Amino acid sequence: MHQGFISVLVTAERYRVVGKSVPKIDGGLKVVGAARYVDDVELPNMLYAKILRSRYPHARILRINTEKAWRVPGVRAVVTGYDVQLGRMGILQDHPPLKTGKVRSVRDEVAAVAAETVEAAEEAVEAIEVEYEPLEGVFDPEEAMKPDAPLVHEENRSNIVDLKMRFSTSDSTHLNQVFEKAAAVVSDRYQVHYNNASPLGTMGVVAHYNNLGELTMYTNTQAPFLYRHELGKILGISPSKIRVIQPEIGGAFGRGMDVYPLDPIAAALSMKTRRPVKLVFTREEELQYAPPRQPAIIYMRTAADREGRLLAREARVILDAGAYVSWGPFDGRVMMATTTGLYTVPEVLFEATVVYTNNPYTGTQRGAGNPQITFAIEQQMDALAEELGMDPVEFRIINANKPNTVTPQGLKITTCELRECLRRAAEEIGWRGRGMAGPNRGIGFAAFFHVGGGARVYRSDGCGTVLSVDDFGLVTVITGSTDLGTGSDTAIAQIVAEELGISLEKVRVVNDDASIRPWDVGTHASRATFVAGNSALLAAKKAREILAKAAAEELQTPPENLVFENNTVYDVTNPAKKIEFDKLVRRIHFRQGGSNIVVSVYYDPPTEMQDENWMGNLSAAYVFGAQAALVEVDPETKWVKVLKIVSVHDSGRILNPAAAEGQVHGGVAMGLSYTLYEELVLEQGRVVNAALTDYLLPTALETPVIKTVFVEKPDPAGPFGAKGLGETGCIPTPAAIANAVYDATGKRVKKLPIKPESL
Amino acid sequence: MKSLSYIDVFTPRSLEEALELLDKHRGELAVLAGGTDLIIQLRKAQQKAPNLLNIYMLDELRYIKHDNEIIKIGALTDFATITESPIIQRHAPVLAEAAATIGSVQILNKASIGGNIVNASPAADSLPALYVLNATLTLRSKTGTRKVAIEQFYKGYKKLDLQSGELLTEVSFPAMKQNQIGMFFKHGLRQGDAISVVNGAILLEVLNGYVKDARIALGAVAPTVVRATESEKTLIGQRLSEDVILKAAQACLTSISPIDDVRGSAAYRKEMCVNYLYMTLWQMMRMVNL
Ligand SMILES: Cc1cc2nc3c(=O)[nH]c(=O)nc-3n(C[C@H](O)[C@H](O)[C@H](O)COP(=O)(O)OP(=O)(O)OC[C@H]3O[C@@H](n4cnc5c(N)ncnc54)[C@H](O)[C@@H]3O)c2cc1C
Repeated sequence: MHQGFISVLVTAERYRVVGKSVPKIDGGLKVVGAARYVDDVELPNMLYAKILRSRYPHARILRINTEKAWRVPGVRAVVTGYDVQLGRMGILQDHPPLKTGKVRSVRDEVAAVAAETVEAAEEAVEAIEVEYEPLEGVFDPEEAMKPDAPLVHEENRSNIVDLKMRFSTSDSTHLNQVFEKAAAVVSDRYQVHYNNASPLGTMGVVAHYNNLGELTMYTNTQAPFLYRHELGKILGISPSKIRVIQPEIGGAFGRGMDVYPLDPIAAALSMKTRRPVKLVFTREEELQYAPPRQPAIIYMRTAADREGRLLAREARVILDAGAYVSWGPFDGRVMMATTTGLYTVPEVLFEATVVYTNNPYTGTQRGAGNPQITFAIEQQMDALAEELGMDPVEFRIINANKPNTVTPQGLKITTCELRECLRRAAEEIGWRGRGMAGPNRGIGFAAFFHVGGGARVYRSDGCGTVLSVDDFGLVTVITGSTDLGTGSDTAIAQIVAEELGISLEKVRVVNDDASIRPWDVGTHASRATFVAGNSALLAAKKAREILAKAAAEELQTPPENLVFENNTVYDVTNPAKKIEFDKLVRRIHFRQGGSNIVVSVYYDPPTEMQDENWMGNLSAAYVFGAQAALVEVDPETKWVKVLKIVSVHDSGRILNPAAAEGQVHGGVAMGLSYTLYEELVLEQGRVVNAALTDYLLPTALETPVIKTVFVEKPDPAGPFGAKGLGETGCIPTPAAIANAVYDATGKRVKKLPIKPESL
Repeated sequence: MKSLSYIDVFTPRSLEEALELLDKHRGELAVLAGGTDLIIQLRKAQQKAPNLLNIYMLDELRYIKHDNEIIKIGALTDFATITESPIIQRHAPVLAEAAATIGSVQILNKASIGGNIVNASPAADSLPALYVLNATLTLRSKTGTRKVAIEQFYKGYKKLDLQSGELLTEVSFPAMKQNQIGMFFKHGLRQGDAISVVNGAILLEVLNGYVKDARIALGAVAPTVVRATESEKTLIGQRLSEDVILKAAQACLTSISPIDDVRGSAAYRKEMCVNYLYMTLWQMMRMVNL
């Protein structure tokens, strides 16, 4: 295996663009502040919108009076759910953009105003009079499951959402027997909290409806094609009348997966006024109203035999959806895949119960349930190893999945370097065993598992590419895929440059207008480099065929002798026989019966939609890895200082090491701050620390030394052997830190965040 | 966020003019220094914002002087300047230490010591140091000048002995003596740019190994900064030992009355207060007994 690994790297030496640390192609404009984000979109005659939210977490709306709002100078439109007809949103169609009859959370939209200035809009919103009849609310998902709990959606007759996510290898009697006979069992309750994705760019949209009945949306969505489709349904207009434009995206981390009330509201205001309407959240609004990470209560038990082999695992998870179902509860699917797939466990049961409450509705966020469930799984691995008197790294290696394994849910694991990742993590952190890190110090480990080759959560998991080559040899790649700021456009450019033997500057990636781009399901599940990269690679190969045929004629040599390199095409048997890349393009174009070079492909990975029993090979490749954390806990203040994180990744071949390392650093910082600092504190469903004064984002001082290691085993299905990487940096961090805190203090932390106060 | 575009801003060119304006518009103007507290408060406030007297241009209020064993700091002096000042580092290192922990670089450059004092947050980081230094505040109005001891200045939560028409112009205190040592501590919820959950300053005067005088001020544990008088009494007349400093640290509980909030519970604040006092006194004990 090691032999293979080394020889593959030798082949990699041949690559000229792939595998090299190149600056992001969108970096320059961002560094000089010239990149345009949604908030930078300024159109002539633009209006500014503000939303009026509910005063209560749960109440009946008795009366809305907008008269005074209309009287504020500069107001051009006031809308409520009573005077515009909007369809419902969400997978369960449970969410009206503007509420009528009843409000179910403090973020519920009751009315909205468009005015000549933001300030006038704000003044008008405050002038709207709403009479409520407050209702008793429910804020604890376990309380909400009780039969006598106040109902969030009365028509359902229960707060338990009809979204059962259950998988088991056998019936519970058999499972109980396995647990009874096992040599070691750990069983616990874990709880993970709300946090905000906190991208630099807050949620926002500019909607512009014109007199021809065309609606243009400037948005920072992650899934422009699904967005267009959904928005059409909500507004009751044909999606073909909607043009979706994505300016640069200032980070999204999963928050941009859905259509949210602000989108149809801005559209409705623009449809009323026929003027462009901008609605961009302030930071306070972002913290209060953007969908937070899915919190969870996790009851988990795991059993092992005396030799340290896992026998069974059971996880029962309660997911508080909030007042409506957006993407958050679907984190349950990822939790399920990791419960069944991170290690070889013969018997597993996973069950997630989704519950409505009067809390904020949740979204998905980097890792999509994986950091949450890994927090429980990897602490149980640590505790089990201890109970068995085994080394925690050794114990994980014994149970780690191996290449070419099929998990109980039918996930087909192909490349998998988990064991090597665990070894490297232990080596790099200087692991010598439990309690050996020094006074008040501790080391903890956690492994991870995630999809890395797309994820079929929709009818198609595909991405289209249109590639054209102009007369100067400039290659324009129009991709369906959206770059959230992670560098996926750069990876696409590298792939195309490599395949066509041209320099990176000769490739341009275009993806701002979804009415021109071919379809893509959206950027989620760490899929952009794998799926859009494969799509771009196919397109480049197709273009290369056309070019090779012409070059073969031109150079009088068989096409298989041709090498594309350094912006030229030459004959490998006689390098003097060559033609410049751009010249070749012109030869094809400017002649009798000539043509220009435009190719189109659609790549849909060989993945399967899971069936009603949650069986099916969700992704075309899976990624693995491990982290080790070294912490110091101050005995007087219980202050947890993370001194070092080692993050080891099997993401196949790394296309751009510098960018990849950046993704890991960002992921670790995010995971660390989710573990120790960031928490949306809720009282009666309202965020009480919705400002950066008390919502603690990490600063440079909080970010420790991060050592990134890539175990590069090219994946046969990935473009140049690459698998996904975007999310994984943050997945194992909470568990690794919690295990390190245990090593340092002997205290198991079962609830996030780990605050000095809770130690 | 409110628009503040409707308010009028007066920008005087001299202190005299500023006092003139304050007098003319008695009770109608809010003083704007660095604005790092005020602007945030105005944008969040429910009521209409008052007009502003912008004193930020008054360079005559920016100075640090050593004058006859008295250190004088102009009210507009920013915390970056205070931290880096050789005079402060030498004659009031406890204040230099406290000033360095205020916010981030941007805040250090903009935030004034006068603003920190008048804003009167119980968690303000310069206040415990100024308390143990026995600082005096100079308040000027068109009609005269008044000096108030810092402890007398605070009458309750954000209640001040400051009349309309008065401007804080200077804060002064005796330079620390050779046999005095001072230390500041701050516990926030993160390392960078944190608001204090508890903070405090200790100043000890030591003669022949015995504590001759002790001053301890604690922040974020009561409506105003408080002196830990019981702790001080425990130390005075004693040689510093593990036993004495532990007793002194625990004695602070009689002086403090913290509250529960997002940043920490009252119980946690009490525990941290005792622990930090102990840790800081322990370091000072090492310095004294060296
Ligand atoms: C991100 C951030 C981090 C911060 N971190 C800290 C921290 O770590 N520690 C800390 O203690 N504070 C912190 N602060 C608070 C603030 O920066 C300080 O309190 C600062 O010293 C205020 O000074 P200023 O010049 O900005 O005052 P301003 O905001 O201009 O004024 C504050 C108040 O004082 C009044 N005032 C100002 N000068 C005078 C005067 N000469 N006479 C009469 N009245 C006057 C004003 O009318 C106003 O009521 C932070 C603030 C921010 C935004």
